[in-house]
Parts: sequence; C-alpha cells; structure tokens
Amino acid sequence: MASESPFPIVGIGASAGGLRALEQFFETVTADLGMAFVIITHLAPDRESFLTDILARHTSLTVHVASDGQKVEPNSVYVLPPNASLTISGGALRLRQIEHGHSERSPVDVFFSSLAQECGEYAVGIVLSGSGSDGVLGIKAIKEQGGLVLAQSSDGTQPSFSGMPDSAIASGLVDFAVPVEDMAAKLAENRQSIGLVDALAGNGAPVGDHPDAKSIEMLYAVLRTQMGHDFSGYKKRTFIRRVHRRMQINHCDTLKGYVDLLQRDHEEPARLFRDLLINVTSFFRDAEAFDAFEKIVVPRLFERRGAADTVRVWVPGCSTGEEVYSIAILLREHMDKSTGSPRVTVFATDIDERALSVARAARYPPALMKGVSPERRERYFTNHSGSFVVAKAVRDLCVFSVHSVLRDPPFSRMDLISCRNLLIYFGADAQRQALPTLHYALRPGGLLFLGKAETIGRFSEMFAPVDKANCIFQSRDTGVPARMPAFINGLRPAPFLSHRADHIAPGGMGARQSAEARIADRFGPPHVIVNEDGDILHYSARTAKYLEAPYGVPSRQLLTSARKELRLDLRSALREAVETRRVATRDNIAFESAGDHVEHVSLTIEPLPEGMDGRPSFLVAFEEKDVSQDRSGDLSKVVQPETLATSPVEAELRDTRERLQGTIEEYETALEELKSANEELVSLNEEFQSSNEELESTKEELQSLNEELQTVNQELWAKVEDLDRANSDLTNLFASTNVATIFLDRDLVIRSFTPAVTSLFNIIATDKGRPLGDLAIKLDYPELQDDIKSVMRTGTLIERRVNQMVAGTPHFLSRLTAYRNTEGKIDGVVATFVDVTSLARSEERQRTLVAELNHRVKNIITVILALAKQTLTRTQGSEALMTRLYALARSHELLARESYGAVSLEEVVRQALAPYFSEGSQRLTLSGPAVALPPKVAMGFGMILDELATNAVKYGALSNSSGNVSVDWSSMDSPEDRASTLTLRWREDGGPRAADPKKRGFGLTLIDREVSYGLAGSAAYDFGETGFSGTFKIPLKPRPE
Amino acid sequence: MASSTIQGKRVLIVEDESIIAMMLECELNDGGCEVIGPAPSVEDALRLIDTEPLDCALLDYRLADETSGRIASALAERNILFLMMTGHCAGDLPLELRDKTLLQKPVTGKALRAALEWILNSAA
Repeated sequence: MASESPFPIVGIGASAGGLRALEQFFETVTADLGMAFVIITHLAPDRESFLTDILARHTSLTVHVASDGQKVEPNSVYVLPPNASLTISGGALRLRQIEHGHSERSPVDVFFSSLAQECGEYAVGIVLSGSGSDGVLGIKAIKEQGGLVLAQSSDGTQPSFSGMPDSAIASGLVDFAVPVEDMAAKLAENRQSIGLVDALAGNGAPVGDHPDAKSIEMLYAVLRTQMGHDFSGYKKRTFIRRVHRRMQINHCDTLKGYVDLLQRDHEEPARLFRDLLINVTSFFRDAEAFDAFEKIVVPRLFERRGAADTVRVWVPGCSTGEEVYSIAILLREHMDKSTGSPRVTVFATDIDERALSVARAARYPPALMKGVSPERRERYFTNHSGSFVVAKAVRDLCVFSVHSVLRDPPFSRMDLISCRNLLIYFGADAQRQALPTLHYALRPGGLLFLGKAETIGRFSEMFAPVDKANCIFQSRDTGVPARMPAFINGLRPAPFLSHRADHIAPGGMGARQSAEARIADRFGPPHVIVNEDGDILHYSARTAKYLEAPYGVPSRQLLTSARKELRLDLRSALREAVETRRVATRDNIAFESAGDHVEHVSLTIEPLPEGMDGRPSFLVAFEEKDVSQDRSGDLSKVVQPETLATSPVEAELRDTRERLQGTIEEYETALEELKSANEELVSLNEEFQSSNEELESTKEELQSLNEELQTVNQELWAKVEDLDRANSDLTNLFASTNVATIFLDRDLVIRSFTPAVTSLFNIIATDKGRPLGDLAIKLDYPELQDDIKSVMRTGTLIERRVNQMVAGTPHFLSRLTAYRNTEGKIDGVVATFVDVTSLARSEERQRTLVAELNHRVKNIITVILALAKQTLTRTQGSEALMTRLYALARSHELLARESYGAVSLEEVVRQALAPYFSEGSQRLTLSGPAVALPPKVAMGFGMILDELATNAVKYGALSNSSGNVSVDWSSMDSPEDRASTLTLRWREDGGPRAADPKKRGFGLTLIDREVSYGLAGSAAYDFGETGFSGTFKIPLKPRPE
Repeated sequence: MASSTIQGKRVLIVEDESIIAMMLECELNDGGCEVIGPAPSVEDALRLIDTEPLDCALLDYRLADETSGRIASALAERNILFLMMTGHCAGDLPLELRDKTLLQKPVTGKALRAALEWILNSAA
C-alpha cells in the first residue's frame, strides 16, 4: 500500500443466514465505492462453495475466490474458500490450507485482527448474521487500531441468526448498528472520513504543537469533570486518534466543535470515555504489573499450602478472558515447578454472557498474542489453524460464569481477586459498594490486584498496600466478623440481617445534642446511642454496670457487649423500636451485678430524630430499679409471705433464663453449622458451574456444527433453486420442442419423454416406469427393440428412416443414442424421432426435377438432331443450321432465366430478333399489350420469329438498307372456355417486292408446321407490293393457377 | 431393307414436338412405313386410334401437359403393339410401363426401325 493511495478494506464476517444478508448488502454497494471486500464465512471444510457464483449475480463488482498472494484491489470482492484460513499482509491476501479434519472455528477473528494490523484506520469490519460470537475479538482489534466497525442490527431486515451481530453490539465496540440494507450507504457516508485521522494526527507532527492544543486541554477538563477520570497522562497520539474517531462519527470538523458538542450532549462524554478505555485485553497486558504479580503474588498464594488445599482466585469482569488465562498460566507455571501443589480454581465472571462464551472457547487470533513469550506460546497454547487455543492444563483451572459484582452475592474465601480495569467503569456509588464486596469475598490476608488507574480510595482500613506501584493490596483483618453485604431488596439492608462496619459513622453530633437534652429531662440514667443495626455510636457515663467488654475481637455491637441477662430483652426492645419507631420499654429485668447481687433494671429504647447522615439512631437508657426501695415502697401493698415466696420463683426464673441463654447459644451453634452447610452448598454450586461449563463448551461445538450445517443448507437451497430453474428450462424445452424424445433406463423402462412422443406411441404421463415394449407403436419400425438393445450393448448411434414406405403418413428419422451418466457409463438409451416429412417431400420434388431435367435435355438434343437432319437435307447450308441452333439456344436461355415458367411475349420477340437488329434500331417497331406465354408457346414463337427474320434478310425488308419490320400483337379473351387468342402480326415494309411464296422454301414450311402442329394455331401470309406480312393466331390456355 | 417386316405397316406417331415429329415421320417413311398422324396430343391420338387401322404405334411418353398413358391403355385394349419413347430414365416411369419396350431419346433412325421390327417380329 506504500505506492498507491490507501483505500479501505472491508472485512465481512457472516455465518448462518449470512447468504441472504450478503446478497442484500452487495445489491446496495455501488461499483465505485473504492473499497475492497473480503468475505469470511464459516464453511464446511470439504465442500465446494457456490458463494462466489451466487454473489456474482448480485453485484457488479468483480468477485474472486481468494488465493494466496493475491493483491487486494479496490472495488473487488474476495471470498474465503473452504478448508483455508485467510489473513492479510503487505497488501496481499495470505491463504493457509487447513489440514483435513480441522476447521477454523473463528475465521472472522483471525482475519479481522490481521486486517486491523495491516490497515489500521483503513480497516472496516462488518459483522452479519450468524450464531455464536465469532468476530468479537476481531472487532476489538479493529477498534484498537482506529478502524470502523458495523454490525447488522435487528431492525429493518433482521438477521436470520442474531448471535454474531448481537455479540458484537453487546461488546460496545460497534460504531454503527444498522440494518444490512443501510450498510453500503453508511460506508459511503464515512468513506471520506476514513483515513482523515491519519492525516490530522499522523505525519509525525507532535500533538503538542497542534494548533488545537487548547482544545485538547478543554477535552481533558470536560472528561475530568464529567467522568471523573484524568486522561492527561495518557499517550497523546492514541488519545487524539480516538477523539478523532468520535469526531468523524459525529461529523465534527474541528476539535473545538467537538468540545462544544461534549458540553452540549450529555451522552457524548460517556461514549468518548468508553472509546478511550478500549483496550485490546491482550495477554499479559501491562507486563510490569504481571511481573510483580508473578514475583509477589504467586509465591504468597502457594505459601504453606498442601495438596489437599485449594487456592481460590476470582476474576470479576473478566470480559473475553485474556486476563484470566494470563493469571492461570502464571499459576500453572508455579504449580509445574513443585510437586504436591494445591488445587487451583480461577473463578472468572462477567455480566456479558457473550463475552464469556468467547472466553470459554479459549481461541485467540495471533494479533492478541503479542505479550506471550515464545516459550509460553509453545507450552500453553496449541496453534490450531491460524488461531491459538489455550492448553487444557490451563483451561481446566478456569471456571466461567455470569455474575455481577454489584448485584449478585459475592464469592467467598478467595485467596486472590484480580479486578483490573473494572472499577474505572463504576461511578463513585458503585465503587463504594464494590470494594467492601471484594473485601468480604477475600479471606483475611487475601490479595487484591487492581488496574493501573484504580485505587482503593477511602477503604484503606480494609486493604493494606503490598506493592503500591503495581496496585497489589492485601485484605486487612478489620476485626469485625465478616458479614456478607446485603444484596437483597435493592440494596436496602433490613435490620439485624447485617452489621455494616463501614457505616459506623462518627457523625451524629446533632443527635447527641438532642439526646443530651432528653437525658437531662430524664435525670440522666446511663445510656448509649445506637444505630438501627445495634452498633453503639455513643456511650454515656456509668454504663459499665450493664455492658462488659466481650470475648474475642473488640466490638461496638450493643448486643454482644451487653450483659448476658440483658441481651434478650435488649434485642427484642431494639427490634420493636426500630420497627415501630416508638419508644420501647422493658421493666424489671433482673441481672446479677458484681458480688452476686441481683439487681433490677428497666430498659427504655427511644428513636432519635435522624442525624446528618440521614440514618436513624436510638437512645438506649438503663434505668436502675432499686429493689429494696421498691420492696419498701411495695410493703404497703405486698404482704410478707408473698415476699418470702418470691425467692423460689426468682430461682426458677433464673433457671429459665439460663436455659434460654443455653438455647440461644445452641441456636448460634446451629447457625454456624448452617453457615458451613451453606459453604458446602456454595462449593457444590461451583462444581455444578464447572460441569455447566463443560456443557457450555459442548453446546458451543454443537452450535458451530449447526452453523456449518446452516451454511451448507443455505448453499444447498441456492443450488436447489438453480436446479429448479434449470429443470423448468428443460421442461419448457420439452414442451416447446416438436421432437419426440424418450429416455429409457438400463432396463428399457421409460424414464421421461417429450409431449411430442404421444403422436408416435400410445403413451400417457403415468406410463413413466413402464417398459417401452408394453406400448403400442404407431410407426412402421419392427426392429426398434433390437436396435435399442444393440445401442445399450455397443453404445454406437443407430439412425434410421422410419415410415418411408408408408404413403400418406409422416416420415421420421429415428436416432437411438446411448444415455451416458456423469461417469460416462451407458445408463440407458435416448430415442429421438424427428419428423422429416417435409424433408422427404423436398427430396421427392428434387427427384422429379432431376427427371424433368433429364427429359428436357434429351428432348432438346432430339430436337437439335431433327433440325440438323431436316436442315442439312433440304438447304445444304450449315449456316442455316447454325442460325436455327442459335435461335433455339436463345429461346432456351429465356426459358431458363424464368425457370421454365411463363415469359413475356415482348421479351421473346426482342430475344429472337436481337441478332437481326442493332440495339435501338429504327427499323424494328414493336407494339402490343403485356402477354405472358407458357414455355412451349414461347419456344415455338422463338423459332417462328427467327424463320421470319431469316427470310426477311434473304428476300424481304432486311435485304436492303431502307426496309423495316413491325411486330404487333393483341390478345382477345373468349368467354366460353376461359381461353384467349393471341394474334401476332409480322409486317415488312420498304423492302423489295415480296418474292414468290414457293421460293420461301423450308422456312415457311417450318413455321406452318410449328404454328398448326406445335401451337394448334393458324397462320396467314400476304405477299404484297410493300412486302411480306404474316398473321398468326395462337390459342392461349389459361395459365394454371 | 427389301424384305423388312415394317415395310408398308401403318404406324401411328404421337409426339408433341413438331420438329421431332417431322423427323420421326421422315425416318419411318424411309423404312417404308405408312405414317399415321403425327398426333401432338392425347385427344388427337385417341381420335386417330378410333378412326384409322393401325399396325403399331410410336409414343412419346411426355406430351405437353400429360403423359401418353391413356393412349397406351387404348392401344393395349386393341392389341396394337407400341413402342414407348422418352427422355426419362426407366426408373422415373410408372411401374406398369417399366417392362414395356422403351426407346431412350435421342434415338437414331436405324435404332428406331430396328426396334419396330423387333416388336412386330416378336408378335408374329
């Protein structure tokens, strides 16, 4: 592409249902778009494809089957042939044959990623109908290099199979999701802007010198304020490239215009942000971090772990799986180095099911393998016809499932969570929720591996940095028993279901002040302020009597620090207060104070006005009841015996309370057991997930098989359509041809026949399948069966004339030829009967003509002989003979010219007299109507006129230089016999006086004889003073019509 | 030719071409025959057959618009021998005439006379 101006190359990925989409697409592509198209489809390996032929019918562009080393030209279409994988480099296609039995399962990814590397901005990817998720990795590569991506959307003409385009659209990388019929228009629209970015940002000009440097600063500012992310540290070239891509799509000409748009359109900053964050999540992306990971994290994970243990790793937001496999490879490497390694499970989750299916397939195009060292490639990947497949040893470590960090209950007891470049997509609220979730999921001391741009923010009490530069953190043991964050009911925690340590807010000063006012009102009993979860926010003085520091980790939880005897009542009273938002009291609760002294206390729990953080808090007041005082006070009412009777009751009460306490403890133990049962269920669930996994990959294989079948089916349909058309052509040909043709199979059974056959055989449509011998034949062809058998045996053609001897019936030419199947073997006989009646008639006519000619020639020779004989004996002049022969020849010539048909009388006269008069001579006058003479009459007149002229030369008007001759004629119709009479007059003038008729001799005899005998007419002569004249009356028969 | 069989025989000539008829007449006169006709058409010939006693006949097969088939039939009815004369090849003639004595045009006077002699002799 170095010498010529670059042009966009459009890669089109399609699969099941793609044929129709491709047809529609190419019907709308104009011939002068100036782009090259490369079509990649999922094809069965051992089948010829008709795609090229099919497409050629729908486009004016040249369609080629792609071949190795073929140079890519604009306005051409290249189609991937079966059994091969296609890449592009140096402006030419590279075709690789695939070994038999293997098939490339993601050929679209392979081609797209090489297209991205080859063409950069000029790469265009189009994803059309197809199931599965092939193409997602490919368009990622194209977007990363600044190319354009389109996918078939479900409006307009819907894709027959929306798996592929939907996966592409779900990845968020598609610039235009449009119906297939609008794609060509979109390409044309963007044709101008493709490559524009190179011109603007490229050419090596440092971006800082760009006149729009100020606008770039503005861009940074907009992103900082709107998205909370600072991009000023990013590679400027990449940054500008992506900004320009957004500008193109929004049809903005200047950076300044785009900055305006950013401020105007509230959606656009998010879109730009998303585009900016596109990364090819290639393997070991950010090598430095992975080095640190290998050195610091991996050894720690395996520290003090035996073969019975499990190392659990969670990768939330794993997308298409490159990061997961990178980590799994590092872990596998470590496992391979030592014996007795623990089991390793890497849980990889994402909310995008389609991305996960890409990850599960574990096949990656070479473009994404840059970060993988050759040794690792060798060891942990198998090169499978152009793409790299993760080895089973690594793949088996990983379990993929759909899961949302924010919505679903988290995993637990993780040794490592790798959560790179996920938090940056989260807003501040989501981050506040996600980090504690991750903390919960980690076992104490577990490690957290974040992306470069991510921090743990304000949760430093949960995570301690291990390697700050590479964002590796360790989970701190916060001392609070790990409680699962609540995920139920739209993130609103219900009371007592959870204890949220992160919300032990130091706030509530206003609440305290109002509480103090109330305490003053109530004479200041000891009290605490708690939140609705029971966490103590504030202690008053003198609470020691009711509270004691509990065993284990320090806690501010009221219910764990209250004295045992009070807990039950406190719990119920607090719940009552929280639920009812009213004051709850419990009176006369006995408890053992220091020195075995039973004391009584009253609890009052009262809701306080909401504090600054908007969360309710409660005042818990302990009011001491002086029993003795009470007793003395009650003495007036209560009699002594009753007082005495109290002590066994009290003892019983104490027993009961102890039993209750025991029950509570048992309950808590049971709770623990439930928890561990739950753990077991969780791990069972994980196992289910992994079998589900296997099912998924089986399903995937089935899908791709299905895919191939679909494609094959599509092509089959197209072929069947062609066959139908050809068949219909044949049927029409059969119907229109008048040639009777019968196809017989090997057993001489009728396979098919043309309608014309019905005139030869007593045959109807249902006779197909019957032997020909069963049918009555209307032809005189007794040898037919023998002939057919002979053709079957020898394969040589037999041709015969049939019916020739039967008068009045059509004549046929029968041709029996061998029917050869595609292998050239004789598989039957084709019998053809051509009606040659007209041919036979022509032959007959020709025979007649030849006979006629024979007759005439012999006749004329006889005439000549007779003439010679007569002339030679009577006039002894060879000259006279010659003259007569010439006259005969002239009459014949005239007849021959008219094909022995009728001739004009005037012509006959002119022809006969031509030797006696020069051209245009004044001595000859002709007059008369047009009369047509039959051949015989014409011949006779020719001879008569010649004799008359000869006599005139010898004795009459032509013997001197002044005489002249006039010939006139007329024809008269006689009505009775529809015949007419021709009267011709010969008159000589200016010659010598007419001689004695006797001297005229043989000439007149000949004339007389010819007129009366040959023409059945009459002649009259006059030998006057002025010259000879003759009148001839000849009957003319009406010409046969 | 002193003792020729044809001497003095009455021979009908049927020939549409006048000059040929003249020649035939000439040839037969030379052989000592008495020529009846010549007749140029079927009608003329049939009239002559009806009115004139005949020894034999010489027929041109093709007359102007028809053949001499009818004349041949009329002659056969009366057991009058005849010679057929034609420019056609034998194969082009109707079957019933193929076996008759046939003269191919052109015919020399000698051959004509010899043929007449032959049929008259064979009949005798």
